[in-house]
Amino acid sequence: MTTLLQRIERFIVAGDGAFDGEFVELAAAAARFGYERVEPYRRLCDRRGVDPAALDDWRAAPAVPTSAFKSLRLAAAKPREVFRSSGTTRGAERRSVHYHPYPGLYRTVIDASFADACLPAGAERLPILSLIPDRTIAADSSLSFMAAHVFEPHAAPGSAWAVQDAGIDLDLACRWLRAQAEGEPVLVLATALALTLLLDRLEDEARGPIRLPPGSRVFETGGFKGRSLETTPEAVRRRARTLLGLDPDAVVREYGMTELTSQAYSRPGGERLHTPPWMPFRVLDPESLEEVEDGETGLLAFFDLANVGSVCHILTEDLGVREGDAFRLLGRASGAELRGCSLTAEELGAV
Amino acid sequence: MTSRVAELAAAAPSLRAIPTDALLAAWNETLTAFLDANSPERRDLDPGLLQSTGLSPAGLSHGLRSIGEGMLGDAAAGELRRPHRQREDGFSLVVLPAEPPGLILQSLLPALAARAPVLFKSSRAEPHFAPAFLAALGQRLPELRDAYAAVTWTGGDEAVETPLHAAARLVVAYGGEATINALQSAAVGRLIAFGPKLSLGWVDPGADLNHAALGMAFDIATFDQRGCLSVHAVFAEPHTAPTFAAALATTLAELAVDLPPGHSSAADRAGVRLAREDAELRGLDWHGDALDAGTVIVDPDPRISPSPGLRTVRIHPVEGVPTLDEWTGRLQGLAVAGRLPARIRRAFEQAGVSRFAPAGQLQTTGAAWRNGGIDLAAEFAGSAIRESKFKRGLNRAHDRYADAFRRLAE
Repeated sequence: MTTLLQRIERFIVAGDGAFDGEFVELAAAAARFGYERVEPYRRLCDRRGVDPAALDDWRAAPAVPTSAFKSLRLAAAKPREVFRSSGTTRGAERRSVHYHPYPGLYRTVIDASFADACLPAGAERLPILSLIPDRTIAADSSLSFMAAHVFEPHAAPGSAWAVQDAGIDLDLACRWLRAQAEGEPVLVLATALALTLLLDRLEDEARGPIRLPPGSRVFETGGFKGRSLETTPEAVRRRARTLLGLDPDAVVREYGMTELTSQAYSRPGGERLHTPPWMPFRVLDPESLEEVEDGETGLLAFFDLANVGSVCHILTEDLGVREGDAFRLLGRASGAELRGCSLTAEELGAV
Repeated sequence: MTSRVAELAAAAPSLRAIPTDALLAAWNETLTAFLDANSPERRDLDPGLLQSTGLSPAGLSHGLRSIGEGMLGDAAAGELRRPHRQREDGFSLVVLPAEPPGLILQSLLPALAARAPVLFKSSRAEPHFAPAFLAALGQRLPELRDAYAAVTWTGGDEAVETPLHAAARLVVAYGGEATINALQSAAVGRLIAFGPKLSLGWVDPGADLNHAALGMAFDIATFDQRGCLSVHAVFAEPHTAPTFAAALATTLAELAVDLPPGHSSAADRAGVRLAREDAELRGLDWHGDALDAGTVIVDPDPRISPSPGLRTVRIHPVEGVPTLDEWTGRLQGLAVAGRLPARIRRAFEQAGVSRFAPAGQLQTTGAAWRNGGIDLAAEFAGSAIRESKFKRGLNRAHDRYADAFRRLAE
């Protein structure tokens, strides 16, 4: 097994695969590994009549819905990290748990993809403000794991975590941002919700917008976790550009989830999300689970080699559309919300 | 809007002057017309309503009959003859949901009974039914025209909503948690909020399973499972559950012919596909063919979760009292097949279930149904407030006398 992990790690570090050749070989080996070690996955393959030993196309490996992480233990080895999804404000739903045996692989993924996607050209270390909690506050958050690992090689002295036990420390965040206005480019790590709260505060402050140094970046991820706000991700990014005095291409959007180890990123300022060379995606017809044509809406599925510690082929709850070699997010499958006698989002008043 | 609101606010005295028989006749005639898919009113209404609701024509007619048939004739007369009356000037605001259509009937009849003028806010997603119904009612009884209106605006427009909330005697809102939170934080005087809820089913081991399946299938399929009285999950004893699930799946498939599912979105279809994939991975027993024609999953996990829609239902095998804690306050109704033991009923009541009905009749609400136990006619009239003030006064008097007796005894 060490060999497979090492080969996957080398493939990720090389970062120049094209979803053929070595990737196909590694994907088949990873699917076999899952079949041998993850009992629920073996049963699924058997029921579907899929023999991973004969697999020559990663697309033929059964995909596991993310909801399975809420009810099943999908781990190929003893977990060394346990990540839990944060859930939504609705409260009654179950949370996903990713028993992760190979956090080293997670670190490799971050090292191989984060800097290229999120840092200004040429930057190695820079001041970072994190609106994502650190690991002392959210030990089971995969996002906090990621942010902590980003801090190690990239955070310059003076970088700050602006989340306390009670929530986001907006005073600290605003003070920190205003203090950076004359310095070198900075990086802000935030969820969409945290960023919205920060922007609301900046808008309320009498001192007016901030002008962060040119080249500064904002890393924005996730949705609003069930919180109804009068905004959209696009509007948040527009406001961030205005209120933080950012370049049009300063906001990088990340797409990740507890159930995956790798992430997709937008190009700076863009909307379309690109997966790394070790995580191909497909857009599937909900009726047939066959791949739809470019431009058609369907369920997003990913084959993440770095997920070898659980299940590589993941069927998400997200709807998207393929645009060339990238995808655009369009929403989520129905299922988590109560529908009865309720208003549509358009009807919501101010919160 | 301002002048319309002023008209509404001043309409209470003329409403009180309308004889109940005239009101009853107009209500019955109008509702009968709206329950008849061949009436001129429905021929005008249905194209827009079908478009906005996405229901099939048969599904729309069935759903409207479920809401409306129990509000005709003697049932309506019983409500309209109740003594509650709005004595003061002023109007109430009712915020209607996008779905299911026809829900205005459940607040309009009590408002008529209380002779309480109401401004209805129709959803932009379904702006057809309420104004059409009020227009038809006003044609039959013109005195009602000044007292009832349905309008549409985008929710959250403070210029419209702030003065309306401040002026309304009572706001009744059907909505999601965010809507309710928004209204609670707005300057609303009295607010009655009907938040999002789901309904469940119970199959007694002694029940005729085919009969139970037929009834439950109707409670699932009515309004394509989009109402708060739609059944999302059913509890059955372990040895009954697999047989019942198979019978229910067969019945749902047959019902999809008579009561075809309406339009389904990619998100809805994706939700059902994921539920099926999840069941497959977990090795659960599940039934279903076309994604929108019904999916039945036997889920040994006793915890319930909302259905993704499109007539998807989970059957939870349970022995004894089901696990409901996580859902307290979010449950609306229980469709019962067979006998419901008292201790089981109590568990559901404690979790907030306010409507118990035989399977097949859960969504067939009548005029006397009090959603959440709330008597809307009394609320519109304001007599609920007067009653509680009276009770508070009585309690204070009782306390004073109790103190006096205690002192005397000492």
